[in-house]
Amino acid sequence: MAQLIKQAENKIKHSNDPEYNLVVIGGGPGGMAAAVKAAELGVEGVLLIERDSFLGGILPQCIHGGFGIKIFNSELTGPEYCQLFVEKVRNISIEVMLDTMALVIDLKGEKKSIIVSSRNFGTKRITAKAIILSLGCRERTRGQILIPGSRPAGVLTAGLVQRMVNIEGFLPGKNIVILGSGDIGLIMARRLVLEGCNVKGVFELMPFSTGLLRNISQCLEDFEIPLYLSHTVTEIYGGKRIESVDIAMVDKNLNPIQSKTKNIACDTLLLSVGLIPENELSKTGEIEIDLKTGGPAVDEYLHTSQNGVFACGNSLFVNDLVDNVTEDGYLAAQSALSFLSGRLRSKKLINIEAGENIAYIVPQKASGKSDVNFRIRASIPLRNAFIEFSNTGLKKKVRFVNPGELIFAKITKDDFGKFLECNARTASDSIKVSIKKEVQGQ
Amino acid sequence: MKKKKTCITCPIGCLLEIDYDLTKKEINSLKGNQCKKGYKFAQDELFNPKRILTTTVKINSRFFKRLPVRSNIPAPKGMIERMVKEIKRIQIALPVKMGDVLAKNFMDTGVNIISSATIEQ
Repeated sequence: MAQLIKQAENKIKHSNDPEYNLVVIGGGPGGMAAAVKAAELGVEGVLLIERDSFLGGILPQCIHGGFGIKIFNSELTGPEYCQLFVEKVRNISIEVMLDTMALVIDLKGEKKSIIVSSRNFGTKRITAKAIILSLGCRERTRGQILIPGSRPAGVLTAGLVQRMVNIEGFLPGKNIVILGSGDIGLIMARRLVLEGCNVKGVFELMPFSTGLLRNISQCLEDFEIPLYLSHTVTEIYGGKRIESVDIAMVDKNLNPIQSKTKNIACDTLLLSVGLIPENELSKTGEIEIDLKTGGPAVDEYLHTSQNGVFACGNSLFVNDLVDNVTEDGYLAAQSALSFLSGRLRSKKLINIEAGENIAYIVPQKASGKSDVNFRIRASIPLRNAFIEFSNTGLKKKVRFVNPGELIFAKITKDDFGKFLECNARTASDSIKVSIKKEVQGQ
Repeated sequence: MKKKKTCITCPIGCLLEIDYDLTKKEINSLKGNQCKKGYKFAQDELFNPKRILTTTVKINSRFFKRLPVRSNIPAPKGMIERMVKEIKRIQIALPVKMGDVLAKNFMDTGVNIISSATIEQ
């Protein structure tokens, strides 16, 4: 890390470091919400850094509807949701740096600082009293799921194709196979059919879809696009351009069944096989990363392991709905204000562990001094289940859990009180959260 | 008749179990909805299905080669594919503001096509 800082530092020409109270890194929905809320709450000297030439992050390319039901109480498209926040940013005193890439977060010195690079001014160091990270996420690629075969053109991730079609205005191909039933894959299946492509099917490795139920209904069923569960791509063929793929059914252990393989001709393979929180920058600041979410480990104030650095948006964990990202942006802003005014003191934290049937839980730590809203990602679909919080005696019924839909569960201050009482006896400093199936007749 | 349908009114996606009469256009019973919007959805979905239409139109902007557009209200589901093809013919002059009406009563559907974004240059 020290080397990285040095490398970036060598490029700095000017030495007068501009100073801000709050620097928000990332101008997507999380970052815009955080910057706007902080300014609304009266924080002066807010800087918003965005590496693209426009604000909005992923929103401008998400031309479909379904955004804003919680925040604006109406169903908007991505560009509309984006526009409403861009206007909020413009109408309040926030400094925005576009075309600017944050290279390194340096927390070693007396003051927190960020080294940024831009074609507008070169490289410079910016100091900040508090930092909010809203860095977004990246798509998993072919390399990460290890599909064998040749390396032709035409193997693309779904979000990339979404940008190509909706912003840059060209189609990736005509005969399309989609691997993975994540939301972007489902939405692109519909989009490509409407643009005149032949979508041959959506193939999902798991025995269930990881997308929202409504997307399966309105994107696939409406257009009679077949969804094949427990299927995967086992081989890619083609020279310069992809010509076909082998599709195989998989067994219970997700291993392809050789006898159930078929070849499908296509000129494009779209991958919608998951998203990874982007935290290369967080790592330069030596921020503790939770291996389950892939994002910083935070407490209920979205405070990371580094004092005065907060995280929100998809770099914290991958969300299904932009409204939730906006709310986390607001929370990060409130916490940053508390920190700046000296009201956010470090407390002893209780560890929150992801137990049975849980892929991850956020926050990963809690002080127990106030109510905490947990965001839980189930690892498998379950009906008639309950969420168990160990060492608290607390159970919450859930009618239906699905990995595609985030679960919200609140633990009140009083419940934490019970835990802390129990904690004094057992000396356990963690709460393990599990999802279990309700046993009939109990 | 009985049918299972996922309610797409909001992202919760309730699984509706609908018992209905197609000739009378009536719902006999509905299970699985978490709010009253589910009833409205079931009724529309069975007897008059509609969807919000979203697509893009060609423009010449510095950053964007396409303008995102939408129907102001849900459009008849059966018309959507034909409408998307026709929308491509719409000519756009910049600047354009979010909510600007680009075509009124498009293809006699009673639906207006509006801009989803503000693009100045």
